[in-house]
Amino acid sequence: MLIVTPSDSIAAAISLDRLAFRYPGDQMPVLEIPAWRVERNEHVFLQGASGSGKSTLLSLLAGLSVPTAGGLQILGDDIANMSTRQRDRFRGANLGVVFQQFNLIPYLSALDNVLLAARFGSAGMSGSRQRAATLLERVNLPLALHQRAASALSIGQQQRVAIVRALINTPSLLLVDEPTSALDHANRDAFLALLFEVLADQNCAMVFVSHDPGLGASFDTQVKIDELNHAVAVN
Amino acid sequence: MGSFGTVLLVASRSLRYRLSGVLLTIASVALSVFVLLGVEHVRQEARTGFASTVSGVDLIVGARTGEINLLLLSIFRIGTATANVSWESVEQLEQQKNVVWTVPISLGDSHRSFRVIGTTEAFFTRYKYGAKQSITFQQGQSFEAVAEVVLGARVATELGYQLGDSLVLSHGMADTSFSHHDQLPFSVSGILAATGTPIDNALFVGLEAIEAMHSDGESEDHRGHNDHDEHDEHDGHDEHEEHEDHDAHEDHDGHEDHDAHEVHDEHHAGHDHPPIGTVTAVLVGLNSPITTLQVKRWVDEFADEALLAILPGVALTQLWELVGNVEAILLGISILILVSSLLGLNAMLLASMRERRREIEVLRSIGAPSSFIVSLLMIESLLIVSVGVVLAVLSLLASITAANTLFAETFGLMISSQILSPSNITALGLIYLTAILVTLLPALQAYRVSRAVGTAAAAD
Repeated sequence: MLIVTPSDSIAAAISLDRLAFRYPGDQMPVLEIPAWRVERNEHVFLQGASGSGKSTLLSLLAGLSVPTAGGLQILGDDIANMSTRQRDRFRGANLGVVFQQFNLIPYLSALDNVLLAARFGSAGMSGSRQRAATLLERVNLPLALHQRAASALSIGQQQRVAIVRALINTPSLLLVDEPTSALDHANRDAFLALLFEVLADQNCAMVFVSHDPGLGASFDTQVKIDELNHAVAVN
Repeated sequence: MGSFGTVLLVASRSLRYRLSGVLLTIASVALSVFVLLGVEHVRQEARTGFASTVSGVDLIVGARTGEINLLLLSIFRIGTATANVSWESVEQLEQQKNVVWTVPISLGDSHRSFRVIGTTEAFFTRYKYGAKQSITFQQGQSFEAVAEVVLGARVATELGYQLGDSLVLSHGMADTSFSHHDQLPFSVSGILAATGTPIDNALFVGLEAIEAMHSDGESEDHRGHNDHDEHDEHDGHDEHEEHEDHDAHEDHDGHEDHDAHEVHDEHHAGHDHPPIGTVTAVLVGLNSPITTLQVKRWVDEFADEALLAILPGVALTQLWELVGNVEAILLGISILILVSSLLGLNAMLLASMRERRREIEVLRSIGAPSSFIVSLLMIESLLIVSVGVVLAVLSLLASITAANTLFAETFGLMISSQILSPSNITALGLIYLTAILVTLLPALQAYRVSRAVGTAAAAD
């Protein structure tokens, strides 16, 4: 297990300060978070029911949307005030994102999916092919499947490729949104074990979002979104 | 791998993934581009082919009428002459300085719907078509005797005539003409090679033969003359006469040749000089194109008879402009076909946007900018259009080759395979421009989706 070492010299992985988010056209904000901090290499389990705003929070953390008010610093960078293009670059280079499903471009091979992410990240193309192959082996995807189109892989295989895809650029923050919701029990446990195994030798913080409190045991920190979010739930 | 290379790779994989829909779209684009390029090409070919129906003829002279009328009558043999040119005028025209040769044409008779033309042997050497191509004999040679006929290529193939066959020429155009010239069977002395011009649809006889047909039953004199005509001796006379006449004129400026004329008149004792009272039109060759307008003015101001001289090229262009509306309509229709197929491409891309929403999310989550997604979509449609265009060009070339092997022998028509004419290249440029414009809508849609990824993902 990793030892979390909060350090003042290195900026936190995530730092929120009086963050609020409201959808355009809505009156009430869906998110109001006075303060939240995730340290480097910290693995956080964020638990909440569907509709609690956890996906919205994740998309803010990924820089896919910007807060209506408040401060949002990722890895010490104020991504709320970046241009869209800058955020795209920042995301490609520093963040890894894994969704519930449909993580891969269906018509690209497993390997090409990973390499495309490398293309938008900071990793050079030359080394990334080797690294991608190694990582795919690490998540138990046999070599024979590397060239297979993503649409021809099982859901479990696709999610494992998605981990590799998210890690190819050696990100400092991994954002994972219900990655096991489409998996059965055995596959879910295997997936989680694998995720931690792969993350073990990476200097990478993780925010893992799920509605299922049963998954949180192996994380450094467990947070309930309802404790973070002070906005009045609309639904 | 550059950014463009990445887009190209992803785009081609994406198209292969949606192969069946993409193939249909490519087929529709290819078909419409094929139609558009084909119509445009054939249009130009028709125009140049039309413009080269006759070449090497500097002026066409006929009785005063409309310019296009005279052209239709003399070259396309459409219509009937309201007035003719007297032989005296033809002779005066021939005596004009700058006039190198004249070939009289007399028409009015037909043989099973094909027009019979009375002319001189010089027709076959003087008349040119296309890029100054001479008329060639596929078999046999020019008529020499009065009762000999030369057939255009199509006349020979359609009516199944062979060299040496004898046929009967009737008066007037109708097939069921009552006044068959049964008395005068003609034998086929030659068959012309196909030219792809109205020459293919005509029968050629000597001017004397036309005269003989028109005056049949008139006198025994002619019958005697015809017999006489067939002697080689007589042909010798004809040539002799022509040459001597000409020389005399040029040398003595039309003074002493009077004697020569009288000698001839005596010699031929009232039969074939003039060979015919009037002719329909005269094809004129000049020593230099510079003198064309000069001679034209002389003809137009000719005092003895109301004559008109036309420049075949100019008249052909005028005639083409009359027919040109049809091709404009054709072109308009093919443009509509193209636009509809490009709209089909647009519809396919828009329809795929729904299923591609996830794909765009993924691309955005790995740091792909919106510009990547927009260019991905544009490149995809440009690839579809490009493959369609290449297919269209290749199949057009194949069709032209096939058509040429099929038509060359039958109609003497050769379609040029130079399909990438400047105007067709312009058309291709416009096709691409339209394709880009048409793709802008789905591309804009993709842009919107890509910008909304964060909020859309959170909405569920």
